[in-house]
This record gives sequence, structure tokens and C-alpha cells, in this order.
Amino acid sequence: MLRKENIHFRKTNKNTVVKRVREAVKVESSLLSAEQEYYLIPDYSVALRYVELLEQEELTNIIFAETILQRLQSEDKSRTYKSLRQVAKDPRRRSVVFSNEHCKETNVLREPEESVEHRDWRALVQTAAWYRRHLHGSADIILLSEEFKQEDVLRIDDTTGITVMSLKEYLTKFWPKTAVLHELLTSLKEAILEEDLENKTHGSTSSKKSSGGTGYQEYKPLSELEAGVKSERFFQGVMRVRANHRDQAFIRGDANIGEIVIVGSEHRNRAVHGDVVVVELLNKSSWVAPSTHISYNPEEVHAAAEDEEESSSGVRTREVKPTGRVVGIMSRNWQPYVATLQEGSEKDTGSFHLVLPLNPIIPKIRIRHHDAKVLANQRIVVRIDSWPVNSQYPNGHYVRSIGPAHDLDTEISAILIEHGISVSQTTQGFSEGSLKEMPINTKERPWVADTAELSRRRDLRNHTVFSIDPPNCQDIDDAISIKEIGNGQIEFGVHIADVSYFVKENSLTDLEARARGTTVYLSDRRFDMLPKVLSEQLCSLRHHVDRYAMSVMWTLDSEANVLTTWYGRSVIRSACEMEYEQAQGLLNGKDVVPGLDAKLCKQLKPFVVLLAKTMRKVRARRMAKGGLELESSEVKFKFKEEGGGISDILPKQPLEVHQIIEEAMVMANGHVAQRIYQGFRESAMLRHHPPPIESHFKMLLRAAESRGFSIDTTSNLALANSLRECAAKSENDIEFVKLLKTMATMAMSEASYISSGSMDASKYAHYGLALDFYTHFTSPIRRYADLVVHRQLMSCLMGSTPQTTDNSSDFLKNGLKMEQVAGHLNYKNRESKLAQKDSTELFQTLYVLQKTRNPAAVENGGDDPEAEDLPFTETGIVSEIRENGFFVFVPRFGIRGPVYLKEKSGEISIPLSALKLDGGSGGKDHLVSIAGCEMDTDLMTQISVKVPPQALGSHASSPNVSSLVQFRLFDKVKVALRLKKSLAHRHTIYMTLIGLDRQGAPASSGPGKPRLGTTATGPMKGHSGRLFKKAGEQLKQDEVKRIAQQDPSLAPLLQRDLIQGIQEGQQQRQQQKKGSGKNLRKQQQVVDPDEVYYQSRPESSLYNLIESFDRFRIVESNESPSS
Amino acid sequence: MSHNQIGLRIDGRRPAELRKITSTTCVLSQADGSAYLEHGNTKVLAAVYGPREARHRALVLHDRAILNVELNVAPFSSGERRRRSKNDKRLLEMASFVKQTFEPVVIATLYPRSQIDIYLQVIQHDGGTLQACINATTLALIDAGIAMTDYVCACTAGWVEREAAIDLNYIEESSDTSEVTIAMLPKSSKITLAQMESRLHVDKLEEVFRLAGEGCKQMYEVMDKTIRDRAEDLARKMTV
Repeated sequence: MLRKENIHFRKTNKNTVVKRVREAVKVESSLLSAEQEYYLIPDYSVALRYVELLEQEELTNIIFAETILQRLQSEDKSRTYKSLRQVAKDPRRRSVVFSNEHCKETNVLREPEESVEHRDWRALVQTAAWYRRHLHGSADIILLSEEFKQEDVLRIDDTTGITVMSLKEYLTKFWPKTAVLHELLTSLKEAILEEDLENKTHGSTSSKKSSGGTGYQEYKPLSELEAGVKSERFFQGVMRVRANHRDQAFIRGDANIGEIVIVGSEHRNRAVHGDVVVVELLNKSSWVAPSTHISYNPEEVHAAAEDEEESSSGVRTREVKPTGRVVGIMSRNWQPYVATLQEGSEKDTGSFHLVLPLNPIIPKIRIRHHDAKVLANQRIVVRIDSWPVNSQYPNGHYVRSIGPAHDLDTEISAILIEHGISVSQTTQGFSEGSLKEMPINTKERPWVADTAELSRRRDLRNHTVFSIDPPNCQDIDDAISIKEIGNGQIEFGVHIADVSYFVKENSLTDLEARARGTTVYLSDRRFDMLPKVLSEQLCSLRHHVDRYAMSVMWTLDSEANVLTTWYGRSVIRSACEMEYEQAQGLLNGKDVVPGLDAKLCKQLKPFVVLLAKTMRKVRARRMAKGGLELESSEVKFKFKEEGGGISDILPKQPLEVHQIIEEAMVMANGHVAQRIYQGFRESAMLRHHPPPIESHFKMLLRAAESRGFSIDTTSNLALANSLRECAAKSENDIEFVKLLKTMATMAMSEASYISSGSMDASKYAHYGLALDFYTHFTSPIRRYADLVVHRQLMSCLMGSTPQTTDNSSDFLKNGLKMEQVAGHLNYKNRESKLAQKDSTELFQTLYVLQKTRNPAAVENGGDDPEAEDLPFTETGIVSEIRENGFFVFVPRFGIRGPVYLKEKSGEISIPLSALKLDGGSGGKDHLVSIAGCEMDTDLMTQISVKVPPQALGSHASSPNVSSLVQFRLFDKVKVALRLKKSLAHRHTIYMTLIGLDRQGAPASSGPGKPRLGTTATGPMKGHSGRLFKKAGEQLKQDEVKRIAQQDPSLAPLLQRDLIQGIQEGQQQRQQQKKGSGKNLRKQQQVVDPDEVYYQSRPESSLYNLIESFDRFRIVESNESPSS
Repeated sequence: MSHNQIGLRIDGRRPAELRKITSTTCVLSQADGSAYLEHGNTKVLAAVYGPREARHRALVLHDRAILNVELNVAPFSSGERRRRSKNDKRLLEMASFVKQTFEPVVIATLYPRSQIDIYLQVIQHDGGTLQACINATTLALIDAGIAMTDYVCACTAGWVEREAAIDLNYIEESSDTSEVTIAMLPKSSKITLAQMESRLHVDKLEEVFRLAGEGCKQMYEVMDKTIRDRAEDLARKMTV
């Protein structure tokens, strides 16, 4: 631990001189613990091949000699190198790096004719001996080696207390009962055995450049790759596999070439999703177009649903793209994968097995395990070790088992593992040391506010402070106070839990919280960032108790303009923990709301009303500057009291109170961001949201166009206005507006944390919120970034001038470190959001499973495959059109799933009910499917199916059946939700068409609605009239042309209808324009206005993630000695 | 690039640590004073002739001696063999820096109408040439018995990878760092030369200067020891 003192003198206003001493203690890396009886020094053979064992949390007090780290680097084992560095960095592991090569007493020169291995071994022994002397023999040193034995030590240096052990001996001696370690060791040993074997066999055949069968090619040497990339002969990028088509992968090349597609496993040449690869372009004649089909593999569709914006343009086209093949790999991005043993494989007697990763974009992995029966039907964690050129699949090894497949807890653990949420977080465990740092708050010894501390804080206990949160909220971050102070002025305060008071920088709790980054909320559970005593008790702003807070107090004039701002520490006593519904009740004019007593209601009502009044003004001002109101389909699950089932899925109810609280928080965040930027020009933790890329809007534009709207995307204000206009014009069709907003959300870039020094000041702005500065300040209990911001704000307020010359490593001031922390938090937040999303999907699937489970099948003794599932019918909206079907979004449950019109066999079929003009709701019509149809699609807005008359058979004569069905974007359809069950993957939801939902669309639903073209019989005039009144002009003309071609006699009639329709449509629109803006609020979904950008584009955010992660890593490797 | 995670620089030094310094005086028999100095892998040979009669009449100053500094860099001094012309602007500039550094320190008034020639030969270049030249010159001048008010000790410091470090080597110098060379009179802590070519944020300047000053003091210890050892050696030889 390095202690640094900084003394400076300051003259105060009263002309007295004050001496200031600032002590900074930096815990750069932890130290070995003094109580330990032995320390471990792994040698190169152990570090290289058993790094995973060293990564296990059980092993502590490891000394990594510089010798082995240097050798890892020189032999290009950067992954291993980084893992070891990571272990040394983690303060909980109490491990260190010792630069023995630079220490006079441990430096060893290579003797003539001595091998490198031997010299390194001598260096390690020397280091061990030095440590032994240094510690005066108080602790034993254990050298871990798989190559050298005890006698090798004696030959060099005669020292006692130095023991050489193999890992096996070590584990048997010190960890005899920890089965996990032993298992891991065995599986690692097997993997190594196999690798050695392969090297031998491969050695004999290495003369062949490519091995037969697999079609893979040897990678080109690194120098050639680098030269190629420089000369633009090759292209380098992160390879991502298309989630909806496992066969296709792509990299984002440079600006000139755009996206490069890689088709087929031969061209992919052993690269795995996430690897940084080097690609060579193929001949132009073999370029292909990326597929626009919905995959028939249901588990791929699951992923595809979140993969909307994967192509940079956002528009699906059939044009060919540059196509290439992988010629080399710059760096691997192999992670632990959750996988399942291939069905039937457990019966094989051999020791090799194939496992199917849960994530369909990862190839099957070959593992070696002596007893496959144990692994059958289990979810297991697997790592990839290597992928030799002559092997179809990568070689990996088994790490551990999570539990039986499709067990709820197993699946949730799988989600956590896939998103890198650490074990300590999932077990909720905080280390003993960190719990010791916590203040005590038990029934016997309740925590009380310290009098000295109280005197330092502004006492706001006489203010009426209240909090508004969801029901049953345990971790209350924020509370609000508001009152009129005369002259029409208002004193408005936002009070945030003062976590930074309890969690000191670089304390164990702080380090743990930094590692966790954020509290993870899953559908049925949450994983805290801070220990419970803080998150639920001492920091949480509960009512009727004194709580420390960080407050922002404004004086506002009657127009809600800010006159003065005060920031500082305070003590508050909340009067009430209100729920959103209760607050909304008060706002709606009710005098008493359920759950609150009448007296309290009477007391609080005027405050809530005043708050709403003020915040509306603030919000209106921000909206006028271009703030966007965006949408994400969030759902809540209601669980059964007993039996552990889901009783219902509820879409989140938007309330005005949500917006009000949100606005107050945005206001506080914005002001604090400005303040800390003043104090920390180079290292303020800000949150920025870059403007979206224009091309991402194409999807939105086309979708809006199909309904006759035009959207201006030139600025956030223009976009907000056009969206508002759309909403106003189609206020009867809430789902359409919702979907449109969701599309706008998907086009957004991702908001992220930045350190202000890392980029240009013009890039700090938040596009979505229309603020120049934004940060996260209001939720320090659940986000680490907020805690950092709190500390920065406090530091600013303490008045220490940031331009002091001390260069303490204190990371609040260190732009570089702040950048790293910001990168880490971005990564953690994103992963937590993705985990949340996955868990939502998991529960949606469970719900569908419950709904469709046939009781008869259960009675017949479990899963009778023959039993027909129960039908589960819902109304949904067509949200995206593909070549062979479309995606339907069911807003009731927030579920999105594919509907296939064309089967895998190429057969196009459509249920009879869809052809019936009256909606076909009754009878078993949907079970009768008509085969032999023809299909046509323009891929963006419509897909149409033409049924040949002969296929209609007896139905053809029926008067209300048409032979042409069109599905357009935003059409309402009736679908049956079904579940595709799978062992190796999660169950996935798909849908089958039951019919068009024509009742659902009211006649006045603005321009555009489900349309039916017809050539056959029926009340022609009325029908076409209804049709054309609402259609967009262009579309109408197309329609007319087509119908007229089929039956020339109808043409004049149609023309007249058309003109009439256009005129009517125009009138209607003009009327609506006048009334626009009236009914806006109704349709807003409340989400944290900023957090919505996470959910927006998962696939592309994954890309960002990889990029930001890469940057993070580069920074790290820069720091390492690269001699 | 140059600092690893445990706070060591690329060559294993700590930020305020000098490279290994070896120096000897009296290495050339023809010169009046000479010194050989190694700063890690930077090697410089200095030779002093004079005070002697000025070569060119025109340059003679009637009340004091003139200093003449010539600097030469060996073609084999750096990784790439390169012959530099005698009129290389960089070399002339560096020579004039050395000259300016010593003009106020050498008590030239003791030697009117004469000339002191300082010849510097850089044998190997690994960063910090100017500081090595100045230090070698000091030793050679003392060896030649020329009166000076104090030692002149030079040291570089720079801002490497967001940290101040002294005595930069070639790799650290070349990675676009801002580098300051200062020459100091250790007894009075007066600075006779401060030279910086790249930009450095004003906030960092103080820290860098402080470190460079400390480096000069360290340098002084080493140089003083060299001189005293040499003097003792001579004294012993004379008594025998």
C-alpha cells in the first residue's frame, strides 16, 4: 500500500492561512496476506496450461513471477497472460506479481548451454528462496510445477521450506474435499493429453496444407496478415455470426467496403463468434446476398428476434454483398459457454462427446469426459481449448455442471453465466472483510445517526420529503421535496441516498461493488450490488427514520426556471413511501387512496399536485428542445402464491407520475453532470448518447410510409415532432404507435458512460434527452456509476481545486482510469440488461408452456408427445415482413414470434380462416390449411399469398372467401402461440396463423389498415370504398392497377372510388392535424428515459460491447511491459 | 507502453530512478582533461583542451576566455548506421546548449585572451544525449583543472504514460513524450539550462521539474564520487 501525502497552504477570505493535508492511500494491487502458512509460485508449465485452476477463487496468495509472465507474452499467449494479470489485480485473491527479473537478488543469468526452461526454473527457485529469506522462514513456499521435481531444487540451492508439488499433490494435500478443483484438474489434464496427442499426429501430417474432410485451411502467418491488412488486401474485424442464420457470419470492414459476409463453415475457417479475424475477399462472381428468410430452426429465431439491426443498413435487401473467407485470426474471444450433451451421446462408450452450446451461434464443441451418463440432460459449462485444422469441431473441456436442463434455477444460472455475472454476485455473498466494514444495524443495536455527522449536514428533517416507487420497493434511491416559498417561487429538492458516506473509496465493499457494476434485476429475483444492510436498510430512504442524503435543491420561479441550485449532504426524514398508483390517485384528484391513511393523503396531496405542475413545465421545455419519448415493451410477471407458476403477464402501465418522477431525476442528473464537469474537466463520469446513424432509420421510414406518414429524422426535435404527429393521427391505434416508437428506439445508438477527458466536449450531449450534459446520479444503491458521480460531486463541493499538481492515482481525477471504469460499467450494464431480457423471455416461454400444456398429457404420465397442445390464441400485430413469413408482436404479453407462410419444404400454405372475409373466427377453419399457394413479398411492408382456385376446392364457391391475402406491416392477426421444445436449447415460442383480426381494427383508425384485395365476388363497391378511403395514395394506385388488370370492367368504378378516397383522406388528416397534441400523454410508456437505449438494439450493442471491450483490453496491454 | 502494472518502467526502473552510471576521468593522455561517462547505454567521451591561446585573433576576448564546443556523434551510435555531417543543425544546436550551460559556470575571467576547447564524442546513443554530454563535460573540465563555481549536473525528466519519470531511455523518448532537460548547480540549486522541445501541460510542469531536479542531485553524488576517487588515487600514487 502506498501512502501519499499532499500538503498545501491556502489563504482564506479572512486572511488566515489554512494548512491542508490530503492523504491518498492507493491500493494498486493487494498484498499477500500475512497469516497465510504457505505461498504458491506456479511455474510456466502450470501457468500455461492450468490457468483456469489458478483462476479458481479458492486458491489465494499466489506469487506470479515476472519470468513466467514475460515468457507467456513472448510466446504470444496473451489470453493466459491477461487471466493471470486479472487474478493478480483482484484484491480478494491476495495475489501479487513479483518482478524477479528486475530484483538484484533474484535475477538469474542464463548459463552457457543452459535451456530456457531450466534457466526460468532456476529463476523461480531463486525467487522462492528469496521470499523464504525475506519472510525469515515464517511461511513455506510451494513451487507448483508439472515438469520439475523436488530434487531439481536441491541441485540448485540448498534451502529448506521450499516444496515442489504437482497440482495433483497440492490439491490432495490442501484441498482434499473440494471436488470442484479435482474435477477441473482432471478435465484439464484430459484436454492437455488430447492436445499433445493431436500435436503428435498432426506433426506427421503437417506437410499437408489443408486436411481432407473438414475443408479448413491453415491460417496465414501473422506477418502476412498484418501486411495484408495494411495494404487493404485483407480486412480485419470482429466476426459476428448472424443469429438467425448460423451459416452466415459477417465482419464490418472499413467504410469503403462496408459489411463483409462470410458464408459457410469452410469460409469461416474455425473462427467463432466474437473473434477478431482477418478476411480475404472472394472473387466477385461468388458474392452472395444475405438471407432474408426466417430461419426454420426455432432456437435461431429466438435469437433472431433480438437481432433486428444487425445489418448496418437496417434494411433487408436481396442485393449481393462483398463475400470473403477467413484467412487468419488476430485474437480469440472464447468464453465459457453453457452447453448440453448431444442427445443420445451419453450411450456412446467412447470418451469424446459433442456438446451443443445453448447459444446457437456457437459451434458444437468436442469434449472429453470419462462418464457421459453423468452429463446427460444437464446444463454444463464448457470452454474451448483449441480448434485444429483437421477437426470439424473445436476441442474443449468440461468445467462444471449447473444442473438439470429446463430446471428454472439451472436456466437462470445459465443466463447469469452467459452474461458474465460473477459467482459472488449470484450467491449474494460478500466477503467477510467487506461485511465487517458495514455499520451495524440489528434489532438490539439499531443504527443511529452520528451527532457530529449531523452537524456537518444540512438538516432537512423539517421539510416534507416523500418517495414514489413501485410497490414493494426495498432499495429506495430517491426522494423528493417541494414547497412554495412565496413570490411564486418554489423550493424543489431531489434527495438521493448517500451511499458514498457508507462505502469509502477502495474499501472492500467498494471494490466488490465496482466489480459487480450494477444490481441485476431478473424477472423473479435480483442480485444486489451492495450488501443488504446498506441497500435495504441504511441507505434506502425509508420513511419515519433519519437518513443521510445527497441533495440537490433548486429555487424555481413560477415558470419553473432555475434561479439557484444548491448541492450538498443533508439529513432527511421521509414522510411517506408512496407507490406510483397511489401518487397517481392523488394526482387524479382522489382524496384518499388505498394503502395510505387519510391524514397523510391530505398532507401530501398538495405537494404531489405542485410537483406535477412544476415538472410538466420542465418536461415541456425539454420536449421543445427535442427530447424523445420512446418505447420499449416491458412486461411484469405475476407469480402464483404457491406452486411457483406464473399467474399472469402484465404489460407495464404507463402513468403520468412515472414521467414526473423521471423528469425530476433527469433534472437532477443534468445539473449534477454540469457541476462535476466544471470540477473534473478531464475525468468527469458523464453519460452520453450519440445521435443515431441516419441509415438505421430506413426501416422506420418505410414502415411509417406504408401507413402514409413521413418522418423527419434530421434532428432529435424533428424526429420527436414527426413521431408525435403520427401518434396524434392514429390515436385509436395505440399498438401501431407503440410499434413505431419501438422501431425508432431500435434505430437509436446506445447511450454509454464516458470519462469527459476521453472525447471532445461536443460529444457529451444526450441525443434522446436533448441535454448537453447528462450523468447518472440518482440511483447509487443499484448503479456504481452513480456512486462515482457522488464522490466527484462531493470532491467538487469540498472546494479542492482540481488543478492541483498532485498526480495521485485517485481515479476520480485520473482520466485514463475513469475511462476504464466507464468501459467496465458499460459492459456490466449491458450484460445485466441482456440477462434481464433473457430472463423475461424465459418466463414468457414458461407462461406459454403452462397455457398450452394439455392436462390430458399430464394425466397420461408426463410428457406424452402425442398429446395435442391446448390452443392459446392471441391477437398480435405484424411487426416485420420476411421472405417466408413474418414476425408477430403480441402486445398483451410483449412476446414476438415468427409465423411461417412457407414451410421448410418449400410448401406455402395458409389456413382457410385467413381467407374468410368475416375474420374466420369461428369453427375449425384455422386447422384447414390450403396448400399450393403462390407468394410474393417486397420484404419491407407487405407479403401476399395467392391461392389457386382449384386449391380452394369446395370453399371456392363460398361467397366470403377471397383468393388473395395480403399481410402488411402493422396488420392485426390472430395467432396461436406454440412452443417448440428442445433439449439442448431453451424452448422457443413460435406462432401459427389463425386468421386476420378484422374486428380489432376500428373503421376510423387513421390512414391505412388491413386490406384485402379481391377479384372475386362480394359487395364490390362497399368493399373497395372502405379500402381506398384509408389507403395511402401510392398504394391505392397500385391496388387499382392490379385489380383493374384482373377485371377490366371494374376499372372505372375503382377510379372514382379512388379519387373520392383520396379527398376524404386529406380532409380527415387535416382535421386530425388540428387536434394533434391533445392526447399525447396517453400513449407514453414509462421507462427510465435513458435506460431504454440499452434494450434497443441488442445485436448491435453486442458489437459495441466487443469494440469497447477491445479498447479496454488494448489499454491494458499498453500498460504491460512489451519488451 | 513503458509502465507495467506494478509501477516499473519498460527497463524495470522506478519512475525516479536513474540508469546505471559509470564514469572515469583522465581517459585520454593527449587532452588536458577528459572523461568517459555511461548513462545506461548512452556513452559519451569528452575531451578538454586549454586554456590555450586562441586560434583566431578575431575571436579573442581581452578580459576572459572563450569556450568552444564541438559535438560529434559516431555513425555507429544508434541502431541504424548514419553518418552525420559536421554542420548538422541538431548537433550544432546541442553544442551551443552545452556552451551556454557552461559559460556562466566556468570562471573565464581567470583566463583572459585564451580559449577552452571542449570536444564531445557520442559513442552510443540510447536517450538523454544532452544530459550525458553536459555531465561528461563537467567531469572533463574538472579533470583539466579549469576553475568553475560548481559542478554542473544535468538530468532529463518527462511525462511518460501519465506519470513523471526521469532519465528517459531511447524507447521512452521516442514514444512522443514531452521531455525536459535541466542542468543544475547542485550546491545552490540554480538552474543553468532548461530545455524542452515538445508540449507539456502546465499542470505537469512542476512535477516534472521537481523530479528532474532530484535527478540532478543524484547525478551530483555520482560525479562527485568519481572526482574524489580519482583525486585519492592520484594522491596515493604521488605519495608512493
